[in-house]
Amino acid sequence: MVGHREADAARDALDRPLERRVLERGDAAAAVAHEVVVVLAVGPVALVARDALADVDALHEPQLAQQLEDAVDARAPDAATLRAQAVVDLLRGQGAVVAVEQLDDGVAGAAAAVARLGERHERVLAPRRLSRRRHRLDRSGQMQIRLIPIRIDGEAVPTVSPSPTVLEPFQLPFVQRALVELLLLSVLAGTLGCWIVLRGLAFAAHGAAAAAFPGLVLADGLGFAASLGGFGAALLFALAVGRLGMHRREAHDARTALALVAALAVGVVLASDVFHSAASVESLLFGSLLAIDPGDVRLAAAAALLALVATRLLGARWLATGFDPAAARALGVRSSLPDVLLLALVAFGAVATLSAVGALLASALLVVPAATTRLVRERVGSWQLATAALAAAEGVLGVWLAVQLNAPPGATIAVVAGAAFALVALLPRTAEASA
Amino acid sequence: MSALVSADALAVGYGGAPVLRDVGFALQAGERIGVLGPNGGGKTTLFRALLGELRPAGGSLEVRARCASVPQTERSRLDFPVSALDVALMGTIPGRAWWRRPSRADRTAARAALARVGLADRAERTYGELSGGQRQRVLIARALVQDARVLLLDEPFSGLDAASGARLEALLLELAGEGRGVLIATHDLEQARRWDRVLCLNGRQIAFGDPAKALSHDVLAATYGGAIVRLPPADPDPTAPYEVILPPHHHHHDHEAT
Amino acid sequence: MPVPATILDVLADPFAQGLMQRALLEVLLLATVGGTLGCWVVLGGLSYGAESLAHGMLPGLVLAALAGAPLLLGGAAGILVAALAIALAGRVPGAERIGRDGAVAVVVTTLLGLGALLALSPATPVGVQGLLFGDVLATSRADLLAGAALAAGVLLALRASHWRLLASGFDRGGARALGVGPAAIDALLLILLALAVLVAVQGLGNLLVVAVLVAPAAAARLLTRRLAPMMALAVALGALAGVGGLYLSYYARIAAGASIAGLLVAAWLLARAFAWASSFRKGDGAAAG
Repeated sequence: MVGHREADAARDALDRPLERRVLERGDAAAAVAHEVVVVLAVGPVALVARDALADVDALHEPQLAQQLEDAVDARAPDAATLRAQAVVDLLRGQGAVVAVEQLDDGVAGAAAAVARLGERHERVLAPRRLSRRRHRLDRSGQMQIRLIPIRIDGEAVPTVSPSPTVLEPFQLPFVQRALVELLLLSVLAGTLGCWIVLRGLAFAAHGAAAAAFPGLVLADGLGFAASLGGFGAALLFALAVGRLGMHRREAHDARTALALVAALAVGVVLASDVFHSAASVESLLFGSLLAIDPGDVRLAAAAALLALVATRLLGARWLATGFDPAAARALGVRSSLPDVLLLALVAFGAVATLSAVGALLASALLVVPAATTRLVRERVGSWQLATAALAAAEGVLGVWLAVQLNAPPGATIAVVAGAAFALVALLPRTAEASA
Repeated sequence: MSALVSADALAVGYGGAPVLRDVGFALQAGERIGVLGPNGGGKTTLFRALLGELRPAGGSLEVRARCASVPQTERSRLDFPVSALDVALMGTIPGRAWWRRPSRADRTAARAALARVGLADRAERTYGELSGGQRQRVLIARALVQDARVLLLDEPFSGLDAASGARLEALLLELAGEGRGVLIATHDLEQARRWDRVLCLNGRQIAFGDPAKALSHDVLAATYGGAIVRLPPADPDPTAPYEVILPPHHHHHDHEAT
Repeated sequence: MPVPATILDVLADPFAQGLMQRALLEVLLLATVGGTLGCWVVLGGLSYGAESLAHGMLPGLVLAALAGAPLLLGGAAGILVAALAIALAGRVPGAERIGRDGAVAVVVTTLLGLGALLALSPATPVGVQGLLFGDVLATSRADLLAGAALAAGVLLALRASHWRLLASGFDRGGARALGVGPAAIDALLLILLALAVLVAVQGLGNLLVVAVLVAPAAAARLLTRRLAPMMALAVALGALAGVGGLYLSYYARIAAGASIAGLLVAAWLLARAFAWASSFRKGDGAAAG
């Protein structure tokens, strides 16, 4: 029954196609492997069967695929044997291995109309059906592909790797790069984050990061530097909305809510349906920390440096204006240039965090640590230092947990940061002397 | 005749220490009381206590008649999509089961109240389109529909031109004449002198009584907390010197020079 | 596929299937609830609060999807947790230092992270994109019935409390003198808001759901001067945008939820432009909106 099959396939279209994030998880489990083999099956090859991760369109040709239920039965795969690093580079959008093309997102997109005709879904009241846990071959020509990192000792049969010991994750290059990125972002969190919280710009930061999402996708799709597009969009948002937060108490109204919605809607349409971005929507929204490239690190370093310099030059003005805007103006803090620069820095910082934690979780680095330490610190200087330290600790812990639990690292960091806030907020504290 | 409102050693706060203490006064039917004091001195706090929003932190407060509030103009109200008639109709809410819509009798009462304040022809206009004085009168109409015997007006004259102000004053005189009690928070001393009583508040009650006797120099100094400047009158034949009171400069921050 | 011969074909083709018919009904339902309740959200300045609640409910949705439970239940639990967390965060000692914005940002970011963690970790990841951006084309008959029931409840409650909502919204302090407790009205609006979000989240996703609550009402507010016309216009605009989004999704093969949200915001922008232009023409120079 073709209709039924299409229904299955389309239902699974809610799962994502090949993407970085899968790779991260794969890398996480592979963290302890000496070598990582990623088996990409195209055409008649042996497949190691595990849980369904993605549906892939086999380029309009029916393909046969053999299924193997158990790793023990796997023959030596035809696909190349790669080191973890190379895997990262490979799946980063170089086309070679990806003869399996990106899914036509008309099918994989959340709800494209045409592909859904003839289906029936029971979503709300009936139990939601999860993707099935097995390989299937679909007579209509679609094929399920699994990405599995398996450990190979010489020519021996791959076995499931044991759980990694505590420090092993930190020996891997991509984890180390993630940590470098996080340390740089901690500096950003300590400096810029404190200004964001002090000046009431939390929503502006969150919104700027969300606005960067469509900017990034658009720029990438049109062929110029993604970060530039992201920064442009983030800057627009920060300037439009940030000024409200700075100088008025009840600044939020329909405008700010709708601006955020528009950014997200445009972003997802551009990413899924217009440009068919190589990077998945999820990695854009929640980050891909374990797939950081040197460009991202450079961006984070630039942002951290900029934040430090700007704090040195403009910090006093930012402090005065935040304290008493009317009086500051009266005292001759003449133009609003420092404020504009602060908003620009917020936009830049938001873009810098995107690769690590994604467009939706930028506040996990830029707001939450600063807010947490604000509860226990009075003076700006010690507050900023404490924030940087806390952000670094949260980042390290988050990455470690993510590797151990095979979880998305950006989201893990966000949860760790929130837990830290709850801990500090709810535990009884003695009043800090403002010395 | 018992007073409509009487307070004795009343203290009111927002949960912590009382922000207003030692309040003792009585509002009789037919009286207009001018409530004087600086911003933050407790005028609004007292009104909220009278309306039941705040509970007394000490002393006693007896409110023996229904109170209606005529608040200051707020920006949000100007944008609210209601007509003058809608506002007046709000006064019918108390007497009605909450799921019921206004009846014809309600509408008649609302229109009558609007006519009473001189706005019969403006009933269908949007509230925000009306002038300042008209808006105050619509709110008074709401209070009339409520059949409230105590009216609390919070700085109703601010922003009104002389003609509108005079009109409002005449209306208040009429309403008092009908047996209502009216409490008016104001900054205008000369106005307050013309009414029946004054009540001076600045964190505590400074004075209460007949304006001629109560508004001494010391009382005014204590109420407004700052130096009082007496200016010679521009017009050479006034009956009393014209006093100008300068409120203290409320800045508690020290500013960093930048 | 035969080339549609007439405009009528173009208009009618998409809705030949039951799937799209149900989506259409769902969209109309959303427009009705969003347009009416949305007026109170916009007049009461609750837009950001609504958005925060919607964003924060993600873990609930994910857990429901993982457990195979109805999305409505997960959403309800998620909203409850989000509301409690936001209220709590505002009350911790020292919260005034980080501001209400900061506290809300902390809660929302943490909940979004938790949702993503739950959704993307398991060996069989939940389709989080459907939860975030909606899946209006997956509306089943049961969904419609549940949505209609919730919507009917919301509309009845709105009609019954109309005058109290009006009194409290117009003059919060003086409402008490009218026997209307502002705190009770706030609570009522919050509950109705939660219900409306639940109705709409399956179709639009928790990131975009606020569009149907805010955009039509905000647009209508710029174009009308009384509440009744405002509500009617908001419902109409919501319906137009919703139906337009379905057409866009069908013919341009764009995700339906995002299309609808995009058109809703576009409608609001058009209303702003129109109001600005007409105030300009009138010459009173007053800023529109």
